[in-house]
Amino acid sequence: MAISFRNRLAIFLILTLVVVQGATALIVYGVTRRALISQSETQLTSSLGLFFRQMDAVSQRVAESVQVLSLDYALRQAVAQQNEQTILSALRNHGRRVGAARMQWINMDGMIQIDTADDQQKGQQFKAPGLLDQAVADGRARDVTIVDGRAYWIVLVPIRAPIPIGYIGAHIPLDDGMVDQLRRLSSLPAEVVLVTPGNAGHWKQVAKSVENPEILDQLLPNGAPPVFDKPLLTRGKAREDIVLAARMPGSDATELVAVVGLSLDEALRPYNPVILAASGLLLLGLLAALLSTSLIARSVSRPIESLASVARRIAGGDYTPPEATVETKEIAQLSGALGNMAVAIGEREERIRHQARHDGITGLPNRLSLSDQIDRDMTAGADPTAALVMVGVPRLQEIVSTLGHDFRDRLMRFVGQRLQAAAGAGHVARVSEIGFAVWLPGITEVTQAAHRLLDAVGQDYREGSITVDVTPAAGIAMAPLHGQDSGLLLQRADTALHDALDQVDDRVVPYDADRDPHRSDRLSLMSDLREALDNGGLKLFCQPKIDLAANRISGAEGLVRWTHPVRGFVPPDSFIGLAEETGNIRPLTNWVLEAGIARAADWARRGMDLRLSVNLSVRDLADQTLPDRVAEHLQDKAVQPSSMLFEITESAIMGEPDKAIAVLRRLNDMGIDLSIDDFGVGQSSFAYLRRLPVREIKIDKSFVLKLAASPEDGTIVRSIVDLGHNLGYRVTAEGVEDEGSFNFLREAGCDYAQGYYIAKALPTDGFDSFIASGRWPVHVEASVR
Amino acid sequence: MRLSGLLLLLGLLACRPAAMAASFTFQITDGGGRALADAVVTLTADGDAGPAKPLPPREHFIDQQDETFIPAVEVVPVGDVVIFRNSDRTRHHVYSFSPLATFDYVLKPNEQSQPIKLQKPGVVAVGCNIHDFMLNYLFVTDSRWAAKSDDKGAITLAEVPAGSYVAHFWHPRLRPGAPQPAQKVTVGAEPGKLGVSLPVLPERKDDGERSRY
Repeated sequence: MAISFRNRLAIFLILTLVVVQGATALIVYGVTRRALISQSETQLTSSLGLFFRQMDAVSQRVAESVQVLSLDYALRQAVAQQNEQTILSALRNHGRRVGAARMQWINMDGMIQIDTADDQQKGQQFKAPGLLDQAVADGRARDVTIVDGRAYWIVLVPIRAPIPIGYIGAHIPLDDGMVDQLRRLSSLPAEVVLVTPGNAGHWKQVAKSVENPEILDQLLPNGAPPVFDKPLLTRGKAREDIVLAARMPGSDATELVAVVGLSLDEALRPYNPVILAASGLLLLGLLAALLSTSLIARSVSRPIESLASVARRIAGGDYTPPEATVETKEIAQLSGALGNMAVAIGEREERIRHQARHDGITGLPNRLSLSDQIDRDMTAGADPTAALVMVGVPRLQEIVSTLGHDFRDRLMRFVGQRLQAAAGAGHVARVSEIGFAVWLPGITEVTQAAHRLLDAVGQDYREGSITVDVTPAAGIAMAPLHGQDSGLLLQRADTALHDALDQVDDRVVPYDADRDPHRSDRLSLMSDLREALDNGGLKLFCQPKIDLAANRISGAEGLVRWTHPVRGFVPPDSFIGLAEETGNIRPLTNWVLEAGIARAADWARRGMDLRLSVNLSVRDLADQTLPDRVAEHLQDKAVQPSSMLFEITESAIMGEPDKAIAVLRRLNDMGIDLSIDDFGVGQSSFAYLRRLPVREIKIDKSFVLKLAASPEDGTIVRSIVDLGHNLGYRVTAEGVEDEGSFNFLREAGCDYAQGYYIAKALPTDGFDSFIASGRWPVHVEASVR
Repeated sequence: MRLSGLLLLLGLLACRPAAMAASFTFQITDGGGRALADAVVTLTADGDAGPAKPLPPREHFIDQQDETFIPAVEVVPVGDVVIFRNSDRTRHHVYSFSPLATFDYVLKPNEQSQPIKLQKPGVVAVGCNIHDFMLNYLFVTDSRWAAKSDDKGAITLAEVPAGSYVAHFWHPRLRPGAPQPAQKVTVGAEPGKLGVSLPVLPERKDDGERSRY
């Protein structure tokens, strides 16, 4: 998950602050604490020494007091005279004066004579004879003792009268009050407890001066023996103390230990305000950090957020540069960069959009652009009629080959400009390598408009010494007649254009559905064709062929006719070409051969000397099995090969000339004559002609149709006839539609004529009727049965 | 027992020639070998030393000068009289709680006490109630031969008849209650000498130089 800049900054600052402050606080605290501990230890040690000295001084004073008492004359007298009652009362009296809890009178033999506290002690031996000796020697002796769990100073003073005649023993209680007093005198800042070993190593306290009772557990944890003369840091529950223990000096006989303690918490108390102040500072720092973080982050993130929204806006396609704002330098730079980027992207997108919708060479809109325009106009539906004129420039490949691509491009630009100028309200676009499309909405006189466009374009293009004759053609698709949308309209206009480019005479061709080899409905035509082949839907019509010299019927050309059960008559051009393209020509050829040979067999059976011509397509010549199949059919029907003539176009040989020629040779070897169809148009190559085993050429009907009226056509026909004859070919002319042409051909020496003047292609009974009419006789062989 | 001892003593005295006598010197030291002054020796004849020559009663003056009893130790034969005389400019309160002689006199300067007759042998400790450090010992004895050591620790007894004796020694600083040191001594025709070391306690220090005991 992404952390926002503000939070990141805040976390960083706060962490830094906390770490630095915390570390500082920890270090200061640690140093202070260590110093304090060391200082406390020193203080404790010296205080304890002072405590002991005070203790000694106090006990000394007490001893002196007792000593002074011992010198009382009356007491001495009473003692000397063994006046027990007097001694007892005097001892009690003096005991009160010195604060003793108990006074004893001990004789020189160390026997207790009087005990103010305990009568039972009378007659007992004093327990510390050494102390008695010391008392005699020093005038007084003192010691610490534990009696019944209480600590006492015992002060022993001899009574001199004037020589020692006994001892006074004073027991001064070393109780809490005394310890308290001593502690105050020694200004011991600590708690004091006096302990003594009890049973089984368990130490017990005998007196204490404690302000804080909790420390007792620290001073003497569970009665364990104290560690002597070494300050110790003890940790208890929620408290720490420095503890020091030392044996009281002058308590050799009785082990009495003073344990002093100092609460570290107490010692640290003066520093609490400092800690509080430091915490306050930290808190203040944190607040300041948060505030400054917020401010800084806002000053950074706000422009960034606004820039982000600008970026989103740019992503959405709005390239307006962001408004210049007074921000930090970096943000301003970023904002400026973003603005520049937006402008650059906008320009680039404009360029790309232009490129995407325009042709790079002519600068005209492209097909995509025009499609949109057409679709817009079509859906708008304002004008029901419109036309798409597709203008194409032929021979562009030649121009490229000879003058180069650049020249081609300049030429096209020139054409485009001309079209643009001539189109007026029409939309001009370059839609293909060779073509432009002009969308003319709401136009009626389409053909005129198309011609006007062609005239505008069809001018010579000059560039230096080079002049190119632009001879454009145009295809027209009408909307909504030929299509409701741009795709179909463009496709059909293009088809029409290609038709037009193939045309010689008329350069403007409207779309003709029948001539469109690419119509999708023609695909279903093929399956219908196959069905017709199987079910006899096809008929073989025959068009008579006249031997001009003999003036009789020499044969006929077999032509396939198909009457579609739904569509009616289907022109051969449309389904034969389709069959060639879709690979269905072989069964069709087969059918024609079979039907043709059957017809030839029928003629032969009836004794009629007629020869049947059958057209072979380019695909047939690629089929090496064709001669075998032909031979098979001939044999089947017992037909002489000479009764058959195969017509081929020169272009049929072009694909794979060697294989095609091989097939033709085999057919020729079988005895079947071959004829070149459509001679004079297309790629007429004498080089090929020479290699072909051809016996006849057939002049294209375009030369024959206007033969009577056109001297040029006459000259051409005459020349072809002469040429054919000179090369040893027979010559046939087709498309003979009038008597003048017929007579001209006869006069020119042409061998055969075929055409409407004689008869159109006739069904079987029609052909028979034609023969029967006797207009032209048929040579009947005598051997007819 | 008392009777048989007396008979034995009489026997001894009878067979001893009275003419033989000599002086006898004791050299007294403390435990550290230093000369010990104010030590008292008394001789007791082992047998019958013969009847003691009755001496006329004598007065012993114990002076008080510079807050000191002079002498500190006085050997007093039984029956003698002791008089305390104040030669200081302060008063002295001389007292004794001893059963041998219980008295107290407050003496003005240049005043002296009543004569105090001492009838029983023993040591009477005398003090001053005003000046605790002042001490005086009256060594009351019934022995014919008793003397105290001088500053050099020497005690010389003159005209001691030859024979066996028990010498008893006393000193203020002997441990109170401890048995009194004693030693057998034989006195011949020639002067005798004996060094004696007494186990005295160290001098008290608490009262300073003014009172050594």
